[in-house]
Amino acid sequence: MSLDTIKRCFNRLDKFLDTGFTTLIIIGGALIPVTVLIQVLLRYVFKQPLFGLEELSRLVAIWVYFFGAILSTRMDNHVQGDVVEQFFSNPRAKLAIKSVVWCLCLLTCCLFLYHSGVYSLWLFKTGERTTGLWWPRITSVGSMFFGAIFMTLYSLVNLVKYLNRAFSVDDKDRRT
Amino acid sequence: MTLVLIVIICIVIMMLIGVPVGFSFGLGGFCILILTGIDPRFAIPAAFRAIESYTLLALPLFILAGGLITESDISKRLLDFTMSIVGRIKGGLGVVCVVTCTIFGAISGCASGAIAAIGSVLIPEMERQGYPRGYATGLVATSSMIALLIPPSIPMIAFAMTAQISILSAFLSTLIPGLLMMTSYSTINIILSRKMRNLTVAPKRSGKESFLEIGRSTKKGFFALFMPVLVLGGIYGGIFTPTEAAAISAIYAVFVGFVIYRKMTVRKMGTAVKESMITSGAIMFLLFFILMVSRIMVFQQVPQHLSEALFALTSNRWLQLMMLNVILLLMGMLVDDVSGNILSAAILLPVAVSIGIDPVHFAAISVTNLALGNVTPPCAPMLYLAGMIGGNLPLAEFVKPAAYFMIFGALPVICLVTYVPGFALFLVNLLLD
Amino acid sequence: GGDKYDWKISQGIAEDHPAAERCKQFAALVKEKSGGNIKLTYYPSGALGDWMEQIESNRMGTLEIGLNAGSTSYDPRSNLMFMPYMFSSWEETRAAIGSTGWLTPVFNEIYSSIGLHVLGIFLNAWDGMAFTKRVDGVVVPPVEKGIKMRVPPIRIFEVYIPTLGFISTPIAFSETFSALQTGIVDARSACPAVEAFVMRDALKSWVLTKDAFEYWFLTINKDLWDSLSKEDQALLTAAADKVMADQAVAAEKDEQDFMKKLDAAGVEVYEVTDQEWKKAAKVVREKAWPVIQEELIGSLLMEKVKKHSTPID
Ligand code: NA
Ligand code: NA
Repeated sequence: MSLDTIKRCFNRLDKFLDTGFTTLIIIGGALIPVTVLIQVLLRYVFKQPLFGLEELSRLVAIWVYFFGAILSTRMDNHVQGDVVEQFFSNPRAKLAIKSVVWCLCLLTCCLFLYHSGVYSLWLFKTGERTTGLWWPRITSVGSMFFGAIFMTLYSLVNLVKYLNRAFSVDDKDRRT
Repeated sequence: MTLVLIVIICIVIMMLIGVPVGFSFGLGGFCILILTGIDPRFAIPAAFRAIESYTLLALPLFILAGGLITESDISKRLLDFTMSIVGRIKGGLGVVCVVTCTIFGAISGCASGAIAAIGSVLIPEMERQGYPRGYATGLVATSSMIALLIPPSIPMIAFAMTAQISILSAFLSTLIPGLLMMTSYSTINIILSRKMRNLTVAPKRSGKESFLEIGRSTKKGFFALFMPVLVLGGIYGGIFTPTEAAAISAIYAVFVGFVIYRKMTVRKMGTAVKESMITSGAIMFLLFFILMVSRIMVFQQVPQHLSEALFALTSNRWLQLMMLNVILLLMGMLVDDVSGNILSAAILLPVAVSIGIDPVHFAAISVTNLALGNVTPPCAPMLYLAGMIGGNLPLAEFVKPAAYFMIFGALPVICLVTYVPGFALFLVNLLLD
Repeated sequence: GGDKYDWKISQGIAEDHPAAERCKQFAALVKEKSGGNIKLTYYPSGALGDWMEQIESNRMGTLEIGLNAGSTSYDPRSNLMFMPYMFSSWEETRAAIGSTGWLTPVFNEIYSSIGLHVLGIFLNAWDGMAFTKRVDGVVVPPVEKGIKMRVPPIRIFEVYIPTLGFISTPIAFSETFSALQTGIVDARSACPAVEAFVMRDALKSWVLTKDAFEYWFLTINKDLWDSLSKEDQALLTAAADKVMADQAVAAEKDEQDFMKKLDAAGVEVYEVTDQEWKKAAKVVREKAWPVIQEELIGSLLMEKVKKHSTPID
């Protein structure tokens, strides 16, 4: 019963996160070209660019990048080679390799989480700001730590998913 | 140095078993940091600052523009246009493919966009006219290289950003090579299609008829054909920077899709934005970790050791160039074009500069070599993508025709770019000095 | 002192920039004066990242000593390093630096809050303005033409460049050269002679406007500084004074050399006269200084600036 509840809760959370990140990424993705276009128009039409507008474009972009990286991790479609996988026809071997892959990814994410966390914390304490609009730099650097948290989470989910499948394939093989 | 080499080998092994490129470099990078005792705070802020830069915004924006172009019927109109011009000669459809890839290249920065947009229409059409499906697939796969060489180009943005050279000059350096590759591919295609027995050619039309046809397709495709003018004219006419051009082409594609061709819907646009941004996120993530690793390698003076090793082997400039060439081609077999170009800019560029190569010239060398890497197995994302678009064709069926175009079409151009500096730098010197 | 140290020193511009030699000179001098107790290893530019990264490393302590352009991203008062139309002569800039100059304690106070101690102020060069062939004649600010002028993305430039009659256009440094070539901008500000020489292919004229001076900083991590003995601190300060004084003399000569090189390369070189400088200074001091005081440096610092700045009446 408890395992099922956890699963259901997680599915609900996952759905919520997916919808949230997707919405944000679409809004952000649309906002970037618009802010850049406004800057061009200001330069030619009003003869005076809006100072610091490119800081806004960059801030939106950096968050969009990390939302994108989170969703890529969730959907397991990062840029990858998977050459060895093509040599195995056995589904269990394939799933075993996938599990190893996500184990390594999880390890990377944990290290990334730790180091980006240390850096973000330091930056937060020093209160560094941007040179144009004078925004705290943590508003952009924080995206890295934020991204690391959810990528770690989804790497763990992927690892469990593939391990689980690897074992269930194993069961079927034995039965047949 | 030995340690770094061991870690690089581990990174390659990880990539081979299917660990995503970004994670492979990330784990490798953290390993070097831990093993050498370098403070991670050297590497992470540097990588973050790089992906945060305004100039690099051109990359997601051109990806976005590419996604929106696909949804706005622009590529179909370009295709109709080239079809009306060369579609009726024997082997013409192959030329249509090559030329459309070139025009498409002038509005889009990625090879995958060209394959998806052009391949999905042209591969079935070519098969209907009697080309073997494998041939059509191989041709589309290799033609996508041209779209990478014609500016704008995403791998070139990645290179220029890492090397801190002007995107504008870097873009120009591969324009003539791209056009030459278009010519060589078209020629090879015409020669090869002479031997194809079952090729049907649409009935000839009178001069007047075909003239009218060209006129019609030009009119229908006007807003699509205006796009390269807007993007490249805007950049080189001094109206906007490459980053701004990228934003404008994305917005232009939306405008044309909604107002002119009316094929765009809000839902399609949302999907295109979402998918482009996820792709951008994945690229930025791998960029982040490759930059982290290359920062560590620079700190460990890997480029200096590499160039010392190169000089120790030979002092002949031609041989040195050839070795750089071979390294790039090997690199291209292992990694995708964006990752390859970042590594090349960080590690190989200092070596190239030490033997007296102009950085912009090396940008051209790197991008052309690694564009070929996109279609050379084992890591050949564009070759596999074309196979998928061509109907899940087995590799064996289209790798041979693709090899014809690689060896006789692409390799000579790559050699020209590498060994004749004036070839790549001609336009740069002509237009920007 | 008897304590032994092994530190890194670096600069983030380019290996052929005078900053590289000054780092090495400083390292050698410190080693000699400390009898080898303080060992400074010079890392070539690039190995430890660009100047922004180096300032950050310097603050974290992963880089002990750095010689870099100043960053305005920590304290709005640090915009003082680009204070426009404050000085008009080399003598004034020299008098302001060194352990006895008035600027040193000011910047030390600003930098101490971000974890750095200023050992010395490095006189880099006067800023000038560079113009392409799309701009007719020699331009002496203030102008009324509305020339599109590239500015660094730093607030103080945005405040004062328009008061001189230009359209300020922020462009990333890596795209500046091509923006000049293609015509997105017709001119660039914050351009010392040496940078004009680097970009000479795109330029028609360069004007030594002296609108601002570029100060760089030789800094040591503050926690490290505070942990040092009084003797070691004095030794480092003395060595910095010597090296920065040498630079202050060499910088003027370097500037003249580059002006000759620019001339030889076919770029028209013009140095504003005293009268012209004062005319522009009057405009900027009237229109931009109040904004700079209000928004960036505050009244306390402005008092000091006004006290030391070149008289124009
Ligand atoms: Na292109
Ligand atoms: Na490859």
